[in-house]
Amino acid sequence: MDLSVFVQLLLPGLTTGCVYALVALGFVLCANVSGVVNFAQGEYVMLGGVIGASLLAHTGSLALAVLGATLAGALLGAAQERLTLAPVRAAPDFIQITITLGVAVVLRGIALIAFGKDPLSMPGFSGDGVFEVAGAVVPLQSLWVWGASAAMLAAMFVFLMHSDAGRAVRACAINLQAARLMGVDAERLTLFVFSIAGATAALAGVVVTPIVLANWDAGIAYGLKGFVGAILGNFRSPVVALAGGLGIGVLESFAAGYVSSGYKDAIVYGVLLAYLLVRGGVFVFGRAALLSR
Amino acid sequence: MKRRAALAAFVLLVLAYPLMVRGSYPLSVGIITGALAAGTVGFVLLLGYAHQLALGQAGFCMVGGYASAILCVQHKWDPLAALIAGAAAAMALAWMIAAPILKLRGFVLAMASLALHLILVVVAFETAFTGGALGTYGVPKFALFGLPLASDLAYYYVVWAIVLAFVLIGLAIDGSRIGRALKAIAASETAALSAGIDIRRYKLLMFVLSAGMASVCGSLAVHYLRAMDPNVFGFAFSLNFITAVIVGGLETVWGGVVGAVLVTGVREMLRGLSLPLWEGVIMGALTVVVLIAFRRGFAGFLGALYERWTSRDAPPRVSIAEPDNAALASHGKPAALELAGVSRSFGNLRAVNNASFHVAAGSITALIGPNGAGKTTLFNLICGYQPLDSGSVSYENRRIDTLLPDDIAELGIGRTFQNLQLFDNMSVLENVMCGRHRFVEREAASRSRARAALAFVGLRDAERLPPSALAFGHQRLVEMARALALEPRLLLLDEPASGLNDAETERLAELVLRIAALGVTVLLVEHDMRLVMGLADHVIVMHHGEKLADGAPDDVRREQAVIDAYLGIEEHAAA
Amino acid sequence: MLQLERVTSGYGRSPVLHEVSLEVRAGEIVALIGANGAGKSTLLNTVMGLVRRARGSIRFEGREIGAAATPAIVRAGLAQVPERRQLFGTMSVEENLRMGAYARHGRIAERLAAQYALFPILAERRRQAAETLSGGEQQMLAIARANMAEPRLLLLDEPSLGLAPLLVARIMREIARLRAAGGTVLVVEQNARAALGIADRAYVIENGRITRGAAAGELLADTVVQAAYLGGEGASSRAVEARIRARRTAVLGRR
Repeated sequence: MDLSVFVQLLLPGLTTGCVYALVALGFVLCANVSGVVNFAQGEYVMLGGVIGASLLAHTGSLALAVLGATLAGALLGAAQERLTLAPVRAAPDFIQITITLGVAVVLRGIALIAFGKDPLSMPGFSGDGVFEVAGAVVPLQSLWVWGASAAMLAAMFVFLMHSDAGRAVRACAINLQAARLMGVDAERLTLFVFSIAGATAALAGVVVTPIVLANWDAGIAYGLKGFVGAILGNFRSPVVALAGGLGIGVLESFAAGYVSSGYKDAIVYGVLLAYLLVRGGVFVFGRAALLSR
Repeated sequence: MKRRAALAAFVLLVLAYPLMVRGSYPLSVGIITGALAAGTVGFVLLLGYAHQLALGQAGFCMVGGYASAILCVQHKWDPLAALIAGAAAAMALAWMIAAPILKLRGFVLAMASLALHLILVVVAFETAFTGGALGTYGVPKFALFGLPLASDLAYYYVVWAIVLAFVLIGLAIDGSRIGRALKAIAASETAALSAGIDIRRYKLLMFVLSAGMASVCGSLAVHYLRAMDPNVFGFAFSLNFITAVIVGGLETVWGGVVGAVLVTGVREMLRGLSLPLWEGVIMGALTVVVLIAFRRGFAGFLGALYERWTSRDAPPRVSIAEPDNAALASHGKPAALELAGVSRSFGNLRAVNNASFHVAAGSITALIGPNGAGKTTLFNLICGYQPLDSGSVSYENRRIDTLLPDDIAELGIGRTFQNLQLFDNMSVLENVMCGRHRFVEREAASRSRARAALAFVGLRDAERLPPSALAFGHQRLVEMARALALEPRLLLLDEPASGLNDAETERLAELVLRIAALGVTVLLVEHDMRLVMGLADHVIVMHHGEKLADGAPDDVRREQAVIDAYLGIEEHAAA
Repeated sequence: MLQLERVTSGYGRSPVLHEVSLEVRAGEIVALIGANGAGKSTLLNTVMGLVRRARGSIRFEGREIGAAATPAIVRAGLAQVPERRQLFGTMSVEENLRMGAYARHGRIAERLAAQYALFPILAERRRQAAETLSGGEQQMLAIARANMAEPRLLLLDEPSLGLAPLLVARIMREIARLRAAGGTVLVVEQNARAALGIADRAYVIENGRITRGAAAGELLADTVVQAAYLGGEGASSRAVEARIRARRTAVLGRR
């Protein structure tokens, strides 16, 4: 196997993998604190991209574009939680999940109307140059993606492990009743977590736009691929979700390079499907699934 | 009555529509709406009846569309045969992915169906067999049993006739044992299992049926479009299904029809206003708003209006009738239960440790013990809600410890729940009829047997009411009746006196005695000592997960070890 | 300090507590004993705001808290050690303790030091995951965690649950020490003798109603309490039991 080809596929895979990993993390955090799988999670990446590109085009300021996109993600995430989930906390799961799907449709629709059908682009943050690694050519922007992702992950780690609110989020995921006894306001925390999930997804979306372009339709793919990462950790473990997201990005890149770019999606989704079929098939005692309700 | 009114309205509107509009365009809209309705009616079965979301329904439309296109164009098949072949292929595919995946959580299947759809899209783009990106064109018009339908009008009627057929299938399911099982699953999966309902099987059935109907939708559309390519049924089409069914109404298959009309109507209206891009936002917003504010959807709203219009007076307050002892005949031989060396741990907590005891056939046995003694765990182990770590549970000399709760119910073991698990979405009678699930019998027989069980507990007059309209004590009786309807040989009662006042507790005791007189073995977990000591032939005391004592009530209550277990050990050291 | 007056509450449709009235005065240990299902946990959960009370009043230090939300109740000075501990298993001992202080911030280092002084074994295990501790250590951690909120009234829900008898004695001693340090405790227990051994006063609860309230020493007389658990003594419950037995003979023909 030619090393430079391998690296040429690996590094971009890691780049998109960072985005998928952040989406997966968002899925896991929101699900742990609210019990709901947020199907709109992928749309925040898309929105970050289109809003960022648009702001840059209109104001010429990169800083404003990045900040604006992130802020938009935060506000929309909070709005989604407050307006569409808080009123129906007592409703059955499938209703709440379908509501998040409705929100995803609304966000896509707004993006389509506001930003049009055509993909938007942004110049690289420090230019559109490239650099070389082991014979492979990689856009400079990749460094921004890796850097931003690492920074966000580090920030989240510090938050979850070393802050009162972060500890409270983890506590809610472990034992909600006990957390309430300690005086934790689970409702306010949920709002906060959704906001964070939206912001990080949006920031990831902005940072990756110079490489993959931003398009109103891109949300589902991000969502589905991030979902693969989250489901590998059974929606409980953030670390597995991260690794899963990165892995899917790399898998996708390898599939496009070594097999065919037309079939790359089929391979990625095929892996998801195969994994689920095996998981379901291996569960001889359906009891475990029954009791997880 | 409501059903006939709806059918009449449907037929009338379908017939009248072509007469009310002019030109070929509105008729083509009518055909496409009909094709969509065929799919959305199926989707109601999945999302509305089985509460199972799926994001890739359009994938099954693709199967039907391509089946019709390829078989008719390349292999000159008869369109009707191709339609059926496509539906069969879609249903097989649906079965293959859902059968294992339904063992996992609900939203997983939703995502898996999307994954499948997207894979199909890629395959459609990339392979020659489907015609690649250009697809297949020159699809002939639809033909019914070999007779080609030359005019659009004829096709319009055929499409809507198929929709009507699907609606009738849906209505038939709704009023049947399957429909009841689905409602039970939606209300309380735990209780549904205890009535012998195999949850996975029914969800799978609805998934497969809805896939077949989606495939028909695809075929019908393709015979109208006369061409098929990978872009026809994209993700947006799956979203159409979802929004149509939500906005149209989840509770009834009519919601699928209403939804299809609404979705098409909105799209046409937006096209007329030159705002086609707004469709997504509006449909998404409508979905969210309907789910938050009026979950019954448009069809539900119409249904509610109809009910208001034709309603009678409020039902009378139910007073408990005299229980009819003759209502249920003796069931035959009561069963014995044997536990041997049963153990179950959670992490390093030994919840049950090497418990062995015998529940004699025809006896009333009570399982008691202080908090944390392992009684609840033991109950769950017997009923199949938890697996054993070691040991065995035998029912009439047959091992049942590897069975799931619904299989255990099928053997004639009934149970009630401490925290009351009634099905709030159906009447009292239907709740009890669910208890008949393990018997394959005519609806009329089910109904009369259920009535007998209700009469036995004295609630004959309550049969039409929703369970929430009854007082708590009466609700407990409904659960008992549901368990009795199963014709159990062994009945497990989980803290049946919990929440009952003194008078109700004595009435409960009377009921338990009459049940035992029918020839049913009764095993109850209970804290109310008056009930335990008054009723039981045999008392088993658990403590720290182990069996502490086993014998007649008066003997057990005098055992020092039992007294110590309940009251605690003397503390010897000074503070 | 804490007064319940004719409190009725429960979960969903079924009322568990009926017109419960009791009182806890500053500096004392009050025990609430009774059989399982009698409503003991429900009472504590109602005081802490986890269960809505339907009727009656709950006053703490003169202020009505019956309608307050849990965070406010914790800030007012109450803390509960829940039944079966309810620790955050995968979090470390120290993180669990920090969670205990969530509602009342400030001086964390000081409070941690105080709890480690009270329970040295926890200091040793401060970085270990809570679920790796033994049963007795977990109970101590649960108490320490509640103490982190510096409550003026500590509610303990069945501290002896799942503990071997020697450990039960140890835990009871720890609770008595809390009183010596100036605290006030309401302990709910199924293990009547252990609880009565350290309590000043006690109430007996049966089927959701308080049937006796007296000095702990009085209640230690076995027969009274024994009846609450195993039936057969109280006149009315004996009558009910007898009636049921009579019907049993009539319907089933058994003696």
